[in-house]
Amino acid sequence: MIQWIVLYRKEMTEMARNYKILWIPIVFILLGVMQPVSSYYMPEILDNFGGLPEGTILDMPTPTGEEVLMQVISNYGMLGVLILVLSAMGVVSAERQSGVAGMVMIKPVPYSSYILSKWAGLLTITLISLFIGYVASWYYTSLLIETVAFERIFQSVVIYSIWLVFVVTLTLFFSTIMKGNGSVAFVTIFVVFAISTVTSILGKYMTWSPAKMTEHTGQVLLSGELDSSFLLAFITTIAIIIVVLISSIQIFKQKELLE
Amino acid sequence: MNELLNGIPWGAAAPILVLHLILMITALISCIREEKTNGSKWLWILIILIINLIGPVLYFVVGRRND
Repeated sequence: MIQWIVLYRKEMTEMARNYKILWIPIVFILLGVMQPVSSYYMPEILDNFGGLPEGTILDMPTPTGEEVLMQVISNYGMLGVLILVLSAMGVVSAERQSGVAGMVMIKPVPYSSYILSKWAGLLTITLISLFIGYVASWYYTSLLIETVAFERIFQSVVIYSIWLVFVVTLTLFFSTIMKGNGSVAFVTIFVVFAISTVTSILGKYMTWSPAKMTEHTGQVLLSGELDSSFLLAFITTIAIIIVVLISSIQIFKQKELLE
Repeated sequence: MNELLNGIPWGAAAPILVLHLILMITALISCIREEKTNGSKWLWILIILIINLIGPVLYFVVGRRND
């Protein structure tokens, strides 16, 4: 346990040193804030830069606050996931290549502490970024469009964070089994988008899929109520996360530390 | 022009501008302090300064050496 805390602290100092703790939350805030601002100014933007002929009357309904926040969530699902995966891709593979992992593992550190401290570090940065960014976007939505009840915000962000935790855990897994940052990022993003696409095509048969979390988030946001299939998706997601973590630890044990 | 400037709700716009600035400045500091970046340092400084939001993010993701 003590080793785990030491390793976790090392992880956090490293994130502070390469500014991850600063830039990832800022990017999430900006991504979240952009959406309410641009939906608020959309009529004026079209007026000034749209190149529409004089006298065109555009009847654009202003979106409700919930709809704006759903768009924010879908932005996080694309760009946010991309940024998280790209920033986390080297978490184990780069350390193994530079020899840092070897230096850590020479000391009597359990393999599980090493991987779990990495995982906890990634979770910290992911959850902080998501919460801050989402709250900022909620604030701007209330300011510019309309107020959305805070309980819904809270519930939806908690549900959505499960999906992001799943994505980050997958990144950690691929970073353990593969060499090279680029291939880790590519495979993770490919798998994540494959899961989301297959789930959205075969939605009826895949109520257990982790990608359903995005849908449940939207539902909580719009209606404030959870679908009954949420529990199933929740359980499989948590189970997959645990299995992936355990297999990363097992694979990490068997790998050569210096390659 | 003055009318246009007055039309902007600064209370809402100022935090966004400040965040953009913080992001740009941290990327610049990090880039200048780094001994070696992936690719030319001057090019990265230009990218960070010119391309809004995406420039600093690109630098942090691709430009920094990971070790």
